[in-house]
Amino acid sequence: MKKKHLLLAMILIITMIFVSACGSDDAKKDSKDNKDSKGKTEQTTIEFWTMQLKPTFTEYIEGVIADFENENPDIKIDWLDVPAADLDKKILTAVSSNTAPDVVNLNPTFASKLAELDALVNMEEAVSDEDKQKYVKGAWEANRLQDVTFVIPWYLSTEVTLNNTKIYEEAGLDPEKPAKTYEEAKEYSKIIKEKTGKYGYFPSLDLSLVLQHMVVMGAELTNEDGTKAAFNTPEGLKAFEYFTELYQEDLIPKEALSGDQRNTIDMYQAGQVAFFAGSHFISQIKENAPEIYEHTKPSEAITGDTGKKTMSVQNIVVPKQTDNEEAAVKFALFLTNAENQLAFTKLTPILPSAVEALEDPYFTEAGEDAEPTDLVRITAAGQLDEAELLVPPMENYDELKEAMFDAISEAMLGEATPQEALDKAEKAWNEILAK
Amino acid sequence: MAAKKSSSIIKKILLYLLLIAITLFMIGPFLWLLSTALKSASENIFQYPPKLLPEEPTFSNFGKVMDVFPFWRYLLNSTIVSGLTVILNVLFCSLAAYPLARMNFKGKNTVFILILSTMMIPFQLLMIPVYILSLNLGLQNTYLGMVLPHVTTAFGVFLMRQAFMTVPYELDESARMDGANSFQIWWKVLMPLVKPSLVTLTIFTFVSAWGDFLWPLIIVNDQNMFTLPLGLNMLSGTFTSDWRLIAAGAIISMIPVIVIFLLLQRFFIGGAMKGAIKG
Repeated sequence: MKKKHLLLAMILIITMIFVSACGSDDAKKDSKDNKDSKGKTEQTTIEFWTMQLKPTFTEYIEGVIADFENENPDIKIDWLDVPAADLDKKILTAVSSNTAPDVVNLNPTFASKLAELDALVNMEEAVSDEDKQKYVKGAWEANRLQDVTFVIPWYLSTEVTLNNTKIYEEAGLDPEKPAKTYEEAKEYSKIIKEKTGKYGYFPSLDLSLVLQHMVVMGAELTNEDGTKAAFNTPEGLKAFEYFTELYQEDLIPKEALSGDQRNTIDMYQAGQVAFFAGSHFISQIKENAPEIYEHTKPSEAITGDTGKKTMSVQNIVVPKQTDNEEAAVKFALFLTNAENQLAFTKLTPILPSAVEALEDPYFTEAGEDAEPTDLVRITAAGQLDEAELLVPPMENYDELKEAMFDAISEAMLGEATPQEALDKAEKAWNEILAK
Repeated sequence: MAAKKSSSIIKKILLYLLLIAITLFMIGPFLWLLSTALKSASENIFQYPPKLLPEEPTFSNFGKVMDVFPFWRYLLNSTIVSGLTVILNVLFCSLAAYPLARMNFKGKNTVFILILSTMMIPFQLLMIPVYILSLNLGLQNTYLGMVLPHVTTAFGVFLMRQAFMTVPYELDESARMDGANSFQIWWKVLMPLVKPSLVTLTIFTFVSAWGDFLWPLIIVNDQNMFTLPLGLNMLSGTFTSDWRLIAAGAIISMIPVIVIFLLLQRFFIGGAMKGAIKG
């Protein structure tokens, strides 16, 4: 008998679960109806997704939303913070099932993927010329695919070299004269290796960094219309040879080839590497390795003959599926206006994309008690004029990137000469670009 | 005689040393995690050479984790979702397995093979259709939405079918002689006899439901309905990640899995051995 009761109870529970699910659905419908029936001033709700900003920036974002809602009482913002790890999957699912949010914070790589699918609103049309002027030019132009600007730039960063002054001193180098060019970086690495046994330079080859190094050294990636590879030149060869030499003479850690960008910061935090490009990791170093942080001195990015410096951009996009394009763009512009960006950049080491915000003394003058974080910010802002997006959005970008990485690893591992590897990469690129 | 004894002692010592070494090797990463979680803010957790023992052990990291996101709310969500998933999964899988193991009907093998073949389709492929289905059923931001896609799994059906097959058919027959119907045979005869497999399925389902990241993320658009793995992800921010907090969070999220395993361990090992003997 007891068993029978148990069974009945179980069936009851299951039915209840199903019924309760239907219940919540009804409730939703009701609230929607209410909204409509209230509606002299029709409420629009904007769904806004950010990439992993909670909980550090909860207050800031909520503040911006509250200000916006005050100014525009007929628009309501629904904010959702999505973990960065699978944001791309979530947005792809949403777009493919026609339930895309209205405003999303996306990185350029993924934004350009969505742009290829023609899923994003063209900001060139949606934003007035007057508003366009308010953004740093390089940042606005950074996200273009065939004359369509598919994003509004949000925040920027330029690469700043972090130097461990303690290792510099151990090796008898002057921390006031950090490595500024690839050649110097190599020289310093040799000295540091000899004197301390530690590594000097740790260039990461993760993500688009191989392509970036090549561009900085003076190679062109493709011809102008992006149909053919153009890097098989003396400059391109120089880039391949440079890294091959560093690697084969054990002047850079083996992880340069195998690891991701995170390895660079781990080794720097362990005091095993003297300098690396890692400005956006500065607050992480402060938290995880306090004594290394104290010895950290930022300097301008390492560059090649071109003097080019890299810039990265975080974007705001508006998917085409939105029903409220006007309100969505309005919110995107509000979020990225000078005032709000300045407040945001004061919370974290990033640069604003709004021209007006950049003129603030916060980005130009170092106080006397300036910490490494402050110096990083000022150095980063100082080189913004020279900085540009080195690797433009390209179709089939991932494949191109992989092909180049495979080629340079072959050269570094000694499986092919740099010239052979370069030929191989050129062939692969031409095939991919012809698609 | 004495020589033989001493050689067997040496053998034992060597064996134990080996076992201890393997144990340390297996739980080493876990100990490392624990040590990171206990380190205070002034310590460099990436120092070289690494230090296992924290200089000033502190529990404050655990407290901080709970402030970073609505910890108790997410814990409740995770508990409800995992609990429901486990109950429903075990129930439906064993119900589905019963006819496949005990009844004869046309196309039985085809059905079974079809079920098994779904194991070969990765979830990422099914994700979009399942998402659209769930949306149309109004399951977005509901517990049920997070639970339903996992209530039957091919693995569970397969496991339970194999378990039922090991029970002698004579037991069914004698139960039927006593007047039991199919449902009663399933519930009163077979289910009590396959407890080890039920426990195995419970543990597997619990572990996967507890740690599931992708599906809850996709189906939930309301921060209040997030589960623990989604919350823990917030510990590593876009601009900064404090590994002490991440380690503390990882340990907190592991506790329920360990507790469940310890509680059910007796049956679990019994189940594994049973499977080993009977193939």
